[in-house]
Amino acid sequence: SLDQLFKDLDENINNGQYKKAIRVCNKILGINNKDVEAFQCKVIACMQLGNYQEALDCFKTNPTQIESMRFEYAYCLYSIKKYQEALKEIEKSSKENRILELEAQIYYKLENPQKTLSIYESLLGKPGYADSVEFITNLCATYIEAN
Amino acid sequence: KPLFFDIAFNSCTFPSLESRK
Ligand SMILES: [K+]
Repeated sequence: SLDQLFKDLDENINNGQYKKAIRVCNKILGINNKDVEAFQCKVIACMQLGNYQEALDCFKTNPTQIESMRFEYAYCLYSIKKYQEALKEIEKSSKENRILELEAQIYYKLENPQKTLSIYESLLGKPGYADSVEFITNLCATYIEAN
Repeated sequence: KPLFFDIAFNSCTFPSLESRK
């Protein structure tokens, strides 16, 4: 049953069995190709496996899902170094923290640390950032790159 | 090159399946 497939999917995800999770997602999508949770889990599982092109390919048959997964879609574009396309997706997004984090990383890869710095300085005032070792490490790296 | 983390990836998380099980 569909309930059982979702139980299996949840278990595979919790065990880090992402290839198995994708197979279960495909079963669910075979029953209903509009199932939002199964689609989202398939995309995220592909991303967790580092298969970013495969994740992007999921949207080819389901382009309407891009809107609800704009961050993930932009992240996949960033991961395959399509930085300008990723920035275009970010322009269409609400300015939530994770989108700003991604935008900052894209500008860092594009060797524009000044833009990264201005985004990071805006994030620094938000809860959780000032005491994140990873964030402060990135902030230091960006200061070094920006001289 | 200084150390630089991929912090955005931390937000690539699965949706909750609680209501579907
Ligand atoms: K990655």
